[in-house]
Formats: sequence, structure tokens, C-alpha cells
Amino acid sequence: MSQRATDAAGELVQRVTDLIRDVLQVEVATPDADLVAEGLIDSLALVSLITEVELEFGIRLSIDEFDLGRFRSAAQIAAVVAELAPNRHAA
Amino acid sequence: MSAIRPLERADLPSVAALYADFMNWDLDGVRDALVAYYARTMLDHPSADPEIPTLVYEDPQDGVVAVLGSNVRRFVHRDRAVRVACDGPLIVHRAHRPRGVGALLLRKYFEGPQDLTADDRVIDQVHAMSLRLGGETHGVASLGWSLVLAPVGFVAGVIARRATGRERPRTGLVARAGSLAKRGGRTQPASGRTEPLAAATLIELVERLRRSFPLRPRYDEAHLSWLFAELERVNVDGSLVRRLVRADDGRPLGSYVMFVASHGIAEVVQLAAAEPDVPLVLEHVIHDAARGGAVEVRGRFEHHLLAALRRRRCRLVPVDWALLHGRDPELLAAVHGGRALLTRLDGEWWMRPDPLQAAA
Repeated sequence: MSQRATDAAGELVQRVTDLIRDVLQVEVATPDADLVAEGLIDSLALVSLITEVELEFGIRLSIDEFDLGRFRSAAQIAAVVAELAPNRHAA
Repeated sequence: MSAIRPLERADLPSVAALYADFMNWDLDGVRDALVAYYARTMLDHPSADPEIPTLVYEDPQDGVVAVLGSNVRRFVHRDRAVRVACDGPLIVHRAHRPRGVGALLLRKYFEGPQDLTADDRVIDQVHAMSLRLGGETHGVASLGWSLVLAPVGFVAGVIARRATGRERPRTGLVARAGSLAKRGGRTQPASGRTEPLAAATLIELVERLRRSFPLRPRYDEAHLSWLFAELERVNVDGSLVRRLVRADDGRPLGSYVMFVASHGIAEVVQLAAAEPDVPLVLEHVIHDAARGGAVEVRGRFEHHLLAALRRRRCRLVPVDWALLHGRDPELLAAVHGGRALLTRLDGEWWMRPDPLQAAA
């Protein structure tokens, strides 16, 4: 991965971390912190997070392809966003 | 592959286990009844719609860990056929609740091809989730009304509920007040007469009400036969009363469906009448409830009932949230504007499996 790509990925993770803080009103210790294991997310929080991620990044998360296992940390959510909108959020 | 998929017959034992666990029932004693209930209400009923199915969430390790029931009702808006979907119950295994499985099921359901989703037994958390998913509160229907028929029995019921913590207490005082009411403490309705409500007469009545309710159920014999049979089987304490009210000249004016319970509360499931006829139909409801031993009649607010209930100075009582979700502003406006006959009868409020009932 080029330096530019690494920077873009880091920026995306930071945006997701900020979003989680704003939506869930919690500080995520690290990008890999497990939101489920740490009890930071429930159904209502997940709905809020999905909605805000879609609005923030202009994407649509298909529930048919949605994998809860890949929506457990800021880093994972950032990876999902990058996959769904690679041109907009990665170098 | 999606973890969410339509309910299949082979899932029924797993769904029964989920429901029993949720209710803290011993599965061995209720499995057959629950399997039969879910088969009758979610798979085999005449209005079941494969395009708007009951949804399950299948975890790769634990199998089916959540179910969201789908109850599809055929409606008509003016001359257009409309599918109204009522989701519920939403049951998620406790170990999977923190993962947000319920939220995913709800979102998937709201994305379905129904014209309108109308829920009538929504708890606070699901209400909040649904609002974030684009739903809106059905304000009027989120409030309940109560008319006291026998004050002494009513007060005894309130005290008993507070003392026992039970929603349906039985006390001697309530029963005694109820029996006094039964003996004719209430005045006779000013006019009209009632008869048992048959499927054909309800179909005819709803058609007569088309000008009052451009959005209304499109009942047919098959659906009503299923509905009336199921209403007799649900886990509700009390007896089902369904009557047609005719004017003295024989014209059908309205109808009502209610449960009159032994704990003294009669719950109206549907009161169908044009607004000017509601006061008289309500008189018959009250008379009938009192004859059945009720000390209080309750229901949820609907636009066409407002004036009559206001005149009777009804009390407000808490009920579950009612919720709407739809993409057609005309349909939403019809409901919010009081031009829809959308009652608990066509929702999920009354649907409760009876664990003691033998499997059919």
C-alpha cells in the first residue's frame, strides 16, 4: 500500500471513529476496539450507526449482504465503507 | 449469503424454542402449540404473502436466533389494492440481542414491497429503532381510552393491580361490581339492535363505509373465517364478542369486536362505523360489556372515535406505540387524516399464542 493510500485509510478510520463518538456518545479506545464485546452497541445503536454511516459516506448498506461480524469496530466499518465506495474514500 | 431469510416450515421448532425462551415457558410443554400457532398465523393463513414473509435471522453457529413475524392484510385505497403489513412479534435470542440482530430484521422488513407497514404493539426500544429507520409515530393510535362502567369495581381493580403487580387481577369486589353491572345497572341503548357479526355482514358493512374510509380492509370470507377462528384461540383472558348494530329500520350502522375479560376489563379490538353513528354503536358496546360483567371498557384511539369518546369524557390510558412506515404519502395522509379504517383487528395486538391450547 502506498503512503497516500495508508494516509487515506487512516483518515477514513478517523472519520468513522469520530462518527461513532458523535452517534453513540462513547470514546473508542482504539480503531480495533470491539464495540459489541465492550457493550457499546445494541440494536438501537446499530440502527443509528448504519443510518449515519450511510449519510456521512453516501453509501447504501445492503441488508442482504450485511455482515454483523464486519461491523464491530471502527477499523472494520471503515473497511466496509472503503469497499462500497472505493473511489471516494481511498487513494 | 444473507443471514436474513424467509421463515421456512423446517424452522418452526427453532422459532417455537425462541418464543418459549422469551416467555420463560417450559419448551416441552408448549412446543407443539407454538409450532402450530406459527404455522397457522405466519405460513398458512389466507392472506399470507410470499413477497412479504416472516423473516428469520440464521447465525452460522447457533442456527435461527431471531424471528420477525409478518402479518399481511389486504386493504383497498379508493379502488387500488393495497398491501398493509404488520410486523411482529420480534423475538431475538438473548445472547444475540447485543449484536443488533433485531435492527437488521426490522430494516429488511421495512424494505419490503408492502404499500404500508402499520404496527400496533411496539415497545419503546423498537419504536425508537423504527423512527431511525424512517418510520413515523401513529400518534392518535398510540393513546388508549377507558370508560368506567362500575366505579366501585373499577377502583377495586386499580387497587388490585397495584397490590398484586398483575395486569389482570381477579378480585371478589371486581367480580361483584361486574355482576351488578351485568344485572342491568346500565341503561339500554337509545335505539338499534344487535346481532352476531358474520363474515358476510362485516364485508357488506365495510363496503358501505367506503366514503368515510377510502383506505379500508378488503375483507373476504376466507380471511374473516381465519380471523374469527384465530381470535377465539388467542391467549386473552375473556370471551370474544362480535356484533353488528342495525338501526331500527334494519340498516347496518356499525359493528364491534371486543374481548370481555373476567378481570373486569373489556378491550375493544375494532369499532367500525361512520363517525355520526359511532355514539350509538358505542352505547351498544358499553351495554354489551356491562352485560358481560365488565367494569371498564378500553380501546385505542382512532380518529372516527374521537368525538364520541370526548363527549363521554373518557380517561387516557397507556397503550403500546402504534407506528407507520411507508413510501406513499397519500396512504400515510389517509391514516393520519382519519380517512382509514385501520384498527387493532387488522394488526398484531391481539395475536398471542396460547401455550395451553392443544396443537391443531
